[in-house]
Amino acid sequence: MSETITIRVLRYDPDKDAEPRFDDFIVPYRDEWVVLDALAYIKEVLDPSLAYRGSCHMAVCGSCGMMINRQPKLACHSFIRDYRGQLVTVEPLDHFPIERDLIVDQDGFIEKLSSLYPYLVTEHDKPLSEGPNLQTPAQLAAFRPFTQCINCLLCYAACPQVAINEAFSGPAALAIAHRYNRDSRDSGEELRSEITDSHHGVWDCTFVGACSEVCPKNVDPAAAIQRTKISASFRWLKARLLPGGTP
Amino acid sequence: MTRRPYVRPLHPHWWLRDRRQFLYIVREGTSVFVGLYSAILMDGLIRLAQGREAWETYLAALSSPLGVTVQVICLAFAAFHAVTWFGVTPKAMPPLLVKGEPIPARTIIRGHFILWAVLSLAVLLVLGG
Repeated sequence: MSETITIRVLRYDPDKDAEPRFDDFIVPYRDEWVVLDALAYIKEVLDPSLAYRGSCHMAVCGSCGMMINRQPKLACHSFIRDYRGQLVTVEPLDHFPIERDLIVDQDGFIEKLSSLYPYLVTEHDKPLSEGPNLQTPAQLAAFRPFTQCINCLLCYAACPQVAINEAFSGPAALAIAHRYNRDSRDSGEELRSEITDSHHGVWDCTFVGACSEVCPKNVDPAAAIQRTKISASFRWLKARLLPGGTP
Repeated sequence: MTRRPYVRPLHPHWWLRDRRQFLYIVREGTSVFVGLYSAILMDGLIRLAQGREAWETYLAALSSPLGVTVQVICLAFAAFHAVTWFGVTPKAMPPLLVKGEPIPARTIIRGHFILWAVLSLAVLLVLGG
């Protein structure tokens, strides 16, 4: 018999199961397979009821985030050859309610992200006749790394504060807020500060740093949050020290 | 089909299950010793204000085997605490640009270690002299 590898998958069917359980699947071992390929094999050959998300297969869409051997990873970015000879345990992302099998409920994240105005906020509509908004390379460099977020939510699964404080805005949402705050075309920092500067904004972060370590796109949410803490502190001081400030 | 999302409870030993989380809790835990040493220093100030006799007693307590042990433990934990924070400093500060290029994180961390060594040496020289 050719080489195989065992994939242990957390299963949860809201229609039947009171709580999740593990199912083991023996799949063929292929050097070039990633965990997402193994899951596709399970669904196509062994158990069509398996539910998981995945799309681009190239770490761009951010759909296939899951816990692989207890680490938050993209299933399309995790080669099974790195787990050769081991049991591969696949679970839905930590710190999210499980919808079914490997699919989590992302509603909480979407609400947090939406509340942070995750788009360019401009004071005035600029007519087309005025031409494009030009930026210098330095202005672009100020926010570009933070544009790489693919909303895969690995950072939420890595963050213990997300687990402890349900209301915490969390790493990706705050990194995206920082991305727009640092964009020279944007003027929405004041609007976002109502949430970023609040207790459940950046101040719930205790700088664990795990978010940046697990990010498959090197976004560095930890840096975004710490830098927002500095801006938030200046805003706090300014509101109290300068005349006309509103403490 | 029912929608009944299942919320998994946080594992009671979550910070022991992952090396990264364990190191984070250790880093946070070391701050207790940093706080303890700050309290010892504050106590020194109070004793100094109380007069010569109180100050001498304080110094004697610091030089006792127990006092030395506590200080060595505090020093070890404070050093660990400082090193972990040096490691994350580049993330906490806005990017420093030199000729349009950000200074690499490694250089910033190295700068902290050098400054630490220089200041420690200066303190030792002042005390020694």
